Amino acid sequence: MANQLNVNPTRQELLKLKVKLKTAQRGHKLLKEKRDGLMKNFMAIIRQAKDLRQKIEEELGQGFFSFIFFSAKMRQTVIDEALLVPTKKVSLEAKTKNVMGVDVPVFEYQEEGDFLSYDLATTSTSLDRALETFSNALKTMVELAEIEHSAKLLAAEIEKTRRRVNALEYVFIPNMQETLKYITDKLNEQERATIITLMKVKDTIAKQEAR
Amino acid sequence: MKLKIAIIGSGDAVAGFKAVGVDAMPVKTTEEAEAKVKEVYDSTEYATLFITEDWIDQIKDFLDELPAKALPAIVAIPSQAGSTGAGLDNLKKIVEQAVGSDILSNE
Repeated sequence: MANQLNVNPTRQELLKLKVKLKTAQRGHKLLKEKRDGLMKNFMAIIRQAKDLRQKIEEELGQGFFSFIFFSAKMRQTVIDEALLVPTKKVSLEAKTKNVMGVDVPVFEYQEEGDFLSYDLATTSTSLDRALETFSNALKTMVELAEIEHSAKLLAAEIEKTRRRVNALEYVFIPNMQETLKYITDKLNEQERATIITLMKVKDTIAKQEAR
Repeated sequence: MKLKIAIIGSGDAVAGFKAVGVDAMPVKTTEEAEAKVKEVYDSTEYATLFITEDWIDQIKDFLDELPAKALPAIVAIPSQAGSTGAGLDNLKKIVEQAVGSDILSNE
């Protein structure tokens, strides 16, 4: 009885609570379904995210390896000159997709131009190799960004939904059921008391008439 | 809507990406890195922000405090010194938040 809500034990409150309980139970069911749906989506992409991350670590490792070779062999001014004006442009077409009420980004990778805009005579071939690796890795990176960010957003939503489900399931609904029981008990008690009083009165009257 | 990609890291790490069309932002100090992240985060021109793992480790607290937004997506990438594991750690954290325990690494 410790968790019951603070209400007056009246018939009106009882009716109001019954409606509220029904709504809460429906909400609970819906939220539970939402949580399961989110979880399903989350599980589908999280493994993908892990694989992509490992792939990128490998790819970029190679790219940086070539790049370090290039920068070690060249003078800083040559490096700066070679990379000063990029001719390649990349952009992302960003859209959002609605997954169970969560907006997750969807990127479309677009590129134009070529990165080969520097003096081939003064730069080492390591640069070509490094830039090519970077250029290829970028696509994977964007993919990873999309998936990992979606996973992050979904995770936040899952946590929120789970909290709500638990609050309804373990606190709100039991409290309400307890209160309903309390009010019903109290009303029954009142009714019994009334009947007893009536019986007593009837008894007294009967005794008086018999005299 | 066409959006750009940005990358934050030490000069050596990001120089290569500049040539392939990414907005490279070389940083030297933690304050600089935080200022750049804020700049990218507040503008609406960027879809993704890559940060090299060595810098992620340094500005972790700052990144944790940024409010969650749909864009830009902030993603860790390994730096020229190799992977520090910050990216996978982050992924692990996400899984723990959603599932309650780390289910990826016990495979």
